[in-house]
Amino acid sequence: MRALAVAAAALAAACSPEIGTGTYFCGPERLCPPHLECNDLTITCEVPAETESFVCPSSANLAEPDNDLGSARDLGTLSCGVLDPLIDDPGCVPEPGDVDLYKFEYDDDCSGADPHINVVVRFPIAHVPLTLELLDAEGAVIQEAELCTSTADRTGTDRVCLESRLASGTYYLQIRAADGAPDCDGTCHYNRYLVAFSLPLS
Amino acid sequence: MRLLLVLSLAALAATPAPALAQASDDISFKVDKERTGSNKIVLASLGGAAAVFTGVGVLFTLDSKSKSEEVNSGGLHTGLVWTAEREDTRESAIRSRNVAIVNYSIGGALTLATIIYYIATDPGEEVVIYNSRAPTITPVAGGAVFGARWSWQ
Repeated sequence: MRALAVAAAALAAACSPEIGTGTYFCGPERLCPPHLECNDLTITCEVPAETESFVCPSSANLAEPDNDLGSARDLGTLSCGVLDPLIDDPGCVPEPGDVDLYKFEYDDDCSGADPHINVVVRFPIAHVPLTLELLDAEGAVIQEAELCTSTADRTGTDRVCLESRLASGTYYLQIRAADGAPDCDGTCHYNRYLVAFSLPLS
Repeated sequence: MRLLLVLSLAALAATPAPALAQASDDISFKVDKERTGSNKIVLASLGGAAAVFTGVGVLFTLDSKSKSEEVNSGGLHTGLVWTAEREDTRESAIRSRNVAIVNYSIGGALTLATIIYYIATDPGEEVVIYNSRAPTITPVAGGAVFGARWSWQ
């Protein structure tokens, strides 16, 4: 009988899934294997003793408050054909109700086959999903970004993309938590993001 | 011819009279007794059940191993997101492993029972004596030839 017990233990060791700490990104709503927890800074599943709480990047707070049209971060008048990211600093949505607004002036007097704006917002899957909206000068939503994460993505993040051909005028980019998005029943209603904002001519 | 006949009779007179083989020439063998039909059925049932449970254990082991390999990280970052589907696969691998262990335990116990039953119900041996004085009967056309074996001493 002892031999049977030893054989059973060996089988258990050989056929048990082995998921090491830090080897998977956290899933939606900080999902991790039962013996691991989501590290909110690295967004990887780790042993509970090594996890850290969510903190907004320090540079993200410099633009606050920017929750309404009047206090939106002003990017100025944009030049056609700009491909470098216009928004270098990471952003952050630290709590329910927080909204980040970016204002810009667009001049459609551009040469090129197809001048347009191209905005991509990237954020960790582990926390509340974000949404990106293009607003007109009065704050009405003109267009919403769509999910555009590649199936080959290996960063643990999702992307929302927005491409639009605009007439001259004032516009706003609004980034906030998606309506009704899963947020661990309110305990993970926060996220940080990166914005890639360019104005290609074709 | 008369001389030949006399010489033959003289030779026969000099040869000791034939006698039936003695009892010391009998040959004896020890052979295993045949098991009863019910005994064989029980042994076959125990052994067959042991094989079935062990075979089922092997199937679940292969299933568990396959699913474990789907989610194993091997200590390296996979670049993948932990999803509900991967969690289901992990739990299924553990379930299959547990079922395999149970089947192996039952199969092992049945194998042991088969061995113990086989030993405990051994019918033993019996002695078979080959009697060399036994008469012989050889069928021939129209009848038979009856005789006996004997040896000259």
